[in-house]
Amino acid sequence: MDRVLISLNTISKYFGRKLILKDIDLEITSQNAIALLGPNGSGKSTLLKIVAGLAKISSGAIDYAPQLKIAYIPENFPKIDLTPAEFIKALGLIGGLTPEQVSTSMTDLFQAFQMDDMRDVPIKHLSKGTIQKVSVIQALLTTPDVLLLDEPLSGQDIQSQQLFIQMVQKLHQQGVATVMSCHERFLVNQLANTAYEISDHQLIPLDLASLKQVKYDMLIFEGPAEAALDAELDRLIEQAEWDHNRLKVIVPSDHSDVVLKALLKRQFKLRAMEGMEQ
Amino acid sequence: MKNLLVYHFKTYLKSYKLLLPFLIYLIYLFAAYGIMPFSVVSSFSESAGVLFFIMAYVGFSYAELENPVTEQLILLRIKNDNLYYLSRLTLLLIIGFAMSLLGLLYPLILNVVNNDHLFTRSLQLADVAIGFFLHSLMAFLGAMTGSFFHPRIIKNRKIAVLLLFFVTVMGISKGALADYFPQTRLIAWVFPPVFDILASFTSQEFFAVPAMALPVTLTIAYGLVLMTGQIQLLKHSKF
Repeated sequence: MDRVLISLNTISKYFGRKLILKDIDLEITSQNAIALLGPNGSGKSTLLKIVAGLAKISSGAIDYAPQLKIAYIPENFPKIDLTPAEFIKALGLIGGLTPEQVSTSMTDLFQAFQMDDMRDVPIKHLSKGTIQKVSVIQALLTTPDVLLLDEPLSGQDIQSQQLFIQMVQKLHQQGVATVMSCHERFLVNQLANTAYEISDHQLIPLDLASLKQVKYDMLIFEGPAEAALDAELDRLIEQAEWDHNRLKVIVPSDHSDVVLKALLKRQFKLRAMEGMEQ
Repeated sequence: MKNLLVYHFKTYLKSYKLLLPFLIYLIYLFAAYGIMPFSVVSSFSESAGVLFFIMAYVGFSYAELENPVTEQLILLRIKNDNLYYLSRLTLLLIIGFAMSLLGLLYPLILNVVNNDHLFTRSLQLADVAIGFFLHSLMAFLGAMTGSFFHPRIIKNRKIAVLLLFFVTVMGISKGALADYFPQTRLIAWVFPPVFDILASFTSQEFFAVPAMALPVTLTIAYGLVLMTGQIQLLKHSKF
């Protein structure tokens, strides 16, 4: 039987009078790779913080296995004055690593994430995607028992996303449990073996097979820089990413035609389109 | 603890938030010791009183600087909330000691430059020792008062700033207020005992240790209550 690392027992969470989570039961074992899905504001991040012991619960109880090492990748890493090298080194030393261990891990990770040139640039001056890499690197500095990921892929380029997915898969093979909040459904099957949707304050198990059946297309457009997409279009798109005047969207194949037509109508020009490999 | 202190120190130094209070205190020292001679006791007391305000600002700005995300990441690594919060307050104490040193070294050097004529009487070793202790005590009290108004303890920043201003001003003026309105004595103990300690030196030519004993004990106790109080509140409120 798998070792239970963290057990949430009928926990509920209120912010003031507002109910966020209600009677959540969840067991996290070393074999788990859990994906939490749900719209913004549904409580995914709060649940991750509760699992980490960083957020107070209003009722219920949480049990942790002894000596548990939890690493956490926050959704929005702050724009701080320290450089990536200074921050990662400080965190490693605070966490009990020797200077040599920190130096070795740091060099490997900066290289793997192609951050060698940026290690001495203040984090506040880095792009969103690069800052997200710092957030990932700090979590992977040592091998944790449980890795919590809050929208880990948002803002990262395709190459970094793939590297990150490989790293998480490798960690999972090593017995690291992962719990991830994610809105990119197309990535869930690569990173998770169990999925839940937070709906109506509760955790609803999802059939991963049904998620896997969804096919996605990637479309690249050229258009007015950072033009806002309306809410209706936004609902159809799984992920949208701007790079100067280029917009990359990932769309369920069923919606590709509608999104394509709508964006062409808005003076966008199609530059590339292809089906995505799961 | 050492690594935490190094981290906090780097973070604080890189924010340049220490520069303003440091410069203000330096300007105060230049101005305060401009026309000699001075009474040793009253000039050291006044300087310590000013340091209380400066350190209250330092404590407050340092608490504001704390980023909840990096705080969460470190808390997960060290798994000891007490150690984390204690390390932050220790850094404030170290800054307080450095400022106290500045508050004392400046007049000492000026005294040497002026051939021992800066003060109305010759400076003694006891003056220097008690003067440094007094500055450090006020720095400790100011730092604990300012850091208590942490964004996670008082979420509304406007109210926090106003409250801090009110509390620090009341701390030094509660004695004068009580002379006019004796009934305010009932609630005066709520405010930092700055007046209590400075009043024990009024019109004194030498520092009198017995007269200091009670106010010093009161100040240390008050500072420790603020220190443990804020750690408990921060641990309890979480994120």
